[in-house]
Amino acid sequence: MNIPMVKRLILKDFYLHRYPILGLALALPAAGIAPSVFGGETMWRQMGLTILNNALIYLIFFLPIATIMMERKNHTLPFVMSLPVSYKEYTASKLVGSSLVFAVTCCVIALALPVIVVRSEQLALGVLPLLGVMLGVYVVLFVLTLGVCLVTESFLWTMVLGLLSVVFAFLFFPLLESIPPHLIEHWTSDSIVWDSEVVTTLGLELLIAIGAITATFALQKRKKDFL
Amino acid sequence: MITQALRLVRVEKAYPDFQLAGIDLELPEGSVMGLIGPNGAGKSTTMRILVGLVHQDRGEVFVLGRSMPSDQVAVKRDVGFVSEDMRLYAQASIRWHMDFVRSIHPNWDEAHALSLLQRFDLQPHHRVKGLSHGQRVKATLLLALAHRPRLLILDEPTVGLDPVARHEVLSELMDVLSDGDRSILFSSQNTQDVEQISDLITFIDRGRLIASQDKESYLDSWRRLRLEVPAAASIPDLKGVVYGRSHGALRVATTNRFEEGMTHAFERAGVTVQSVEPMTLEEIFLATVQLSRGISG
Amino acid sequence: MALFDEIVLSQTDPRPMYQQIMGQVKQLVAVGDWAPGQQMPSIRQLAVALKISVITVKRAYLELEREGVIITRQGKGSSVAERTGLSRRPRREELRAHLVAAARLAKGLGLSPDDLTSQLLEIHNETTEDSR
Repeated sequence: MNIPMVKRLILKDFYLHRYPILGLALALPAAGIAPSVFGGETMWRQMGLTILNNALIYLIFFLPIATIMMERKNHTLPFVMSLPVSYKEYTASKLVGSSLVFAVTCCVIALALPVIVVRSEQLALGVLPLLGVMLGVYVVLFVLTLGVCLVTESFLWTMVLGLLSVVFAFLFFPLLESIPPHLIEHWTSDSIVWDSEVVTTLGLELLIAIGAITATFALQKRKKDFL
Repeated sequence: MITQALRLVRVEKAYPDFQLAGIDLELPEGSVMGLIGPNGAGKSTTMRILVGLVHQDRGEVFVLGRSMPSDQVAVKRDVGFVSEDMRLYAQASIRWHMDFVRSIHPNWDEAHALSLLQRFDLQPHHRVKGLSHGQRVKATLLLALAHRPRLLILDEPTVGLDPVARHEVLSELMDVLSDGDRSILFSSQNTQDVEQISDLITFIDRGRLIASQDKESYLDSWRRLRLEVPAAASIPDLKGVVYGRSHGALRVATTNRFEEGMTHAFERAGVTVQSVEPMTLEEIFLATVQLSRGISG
Repeated sequence: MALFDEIVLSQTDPRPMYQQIMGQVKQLVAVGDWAPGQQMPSIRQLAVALKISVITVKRAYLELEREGVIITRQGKGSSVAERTGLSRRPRREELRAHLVAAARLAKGLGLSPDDLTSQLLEIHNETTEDSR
């Protein structure tokens, strides 16, 4: 694979989508975090967290659709692929480019979470591992949506996967009922405990994400038609 | 030996509602081939296979001596491809596209690109979104020409162009050929374009190649004859001659095997040949399609 | 690129393009615009200038060579022949072609040679009167 070529293709997508990327990946999360960091009212803080949640969901939808679906829909794909670019490089640029943007947002949020928890009157520090697991779910959903978008190139399937992330956001609270009491206890305590269940879930998430990326490349390689 | 700019050997590609059935095609370096066929005949599929946008199910494809799709990156370095359904990025300027392609193509010739800008009367700072159809086509062509490709593959390059833009585009294509070893494969609904600039003509219909020949001898082999058949005489059954539907004394015949002796054969049968007319490529194309589909005139 | 703008191809001319080129080259040579021994444009140059295919120009050159109008030497390109046998006759040839067509048509209509000549004479007299 020609790394400089992948870099050029990524920079192309960054340039073409610079405004939505800046807005969704940086401005929106920053707006969500701001009330907690600068000590707003509880209501503002809650609103901020909703914005944060939404920013992640928007990104999961936006990145694959804007960078992959639109390339096809706007008929710019034949233009890019008429250049000396391989499909592997094209696939890599889409995966890496979108993932970089998503990773930046995740990092911003991961750094902000301890601050949000500390500033909160309701949350204890022990909740951080749980929040890590939740962030992990978003990462998995993102990688799956991206892969499905690249492989199926179907708007419908991308929407289905993207919607799963919305469903997850709503299902999370009912799930709390079936969680073992010792975990709840740890999450409400002031010390951070990495229970085996939490570590296993994080590991599982990592495996699924890596598996999805590998599968995406493998399926792309078998493809015969790109238009 | 003449090197082939492209060579297809029994290339097949199946889709649910269409299939390319064993295409054999050769284009010698330095020549222009016009690809003619009705919509959905397989012209675009063939061209997409040549640039690796679609991979053949079976058969071998060589472009500039390299095998496709395995060697597609190297092939695309020397190929310029423009298709009618190809678009540039609407939000970006022509200059941005030039810089993007330049960063990817090692052979980009900036001086040539600038002179093309001028000849096509394009403003580099203009965004693609605001361009007219003709300007968009010219901008796309500029990006495909500025790295001086050895082979140009153009799918319907002149469709929807006004006469001025069409003339500019055709001029630029012919200019490419002044180099001698560059080749062009292009498809067009406009048979007049094909007739004018191609050395070779290829007809495709329903996924099959029905003719591929050098243009001059091809045009030469077709004639329309106007015949006067007296009541006493009957039309002779000559090989390669198809008669029109009328049954009166005046008959029209078309043939794809014309030679001078043919008029004598008619005269011997008591039929007067009123005129022998050359046919345009469009007329020949229609006749060929009808012949291959088994429909008589 | 106003090179070789002496040759202009017409879309409405029913003749094939190679014959149009031949006809115009012959005229240029006949009237002396292209002098004997003068170097001809190369096949590719003329093709690019006229925006027509190389093979069409090649065909025209081959036929012109066969008719002795031009001479092609390996590696040196083509030039106008010293003795082309072309006088200022192209107009006459044109007339002859029309007469041949008229004769054929007359034959098809079953006209006798006398009928044809008397009709021609009649037309000739009419046009002379018109121009008075």
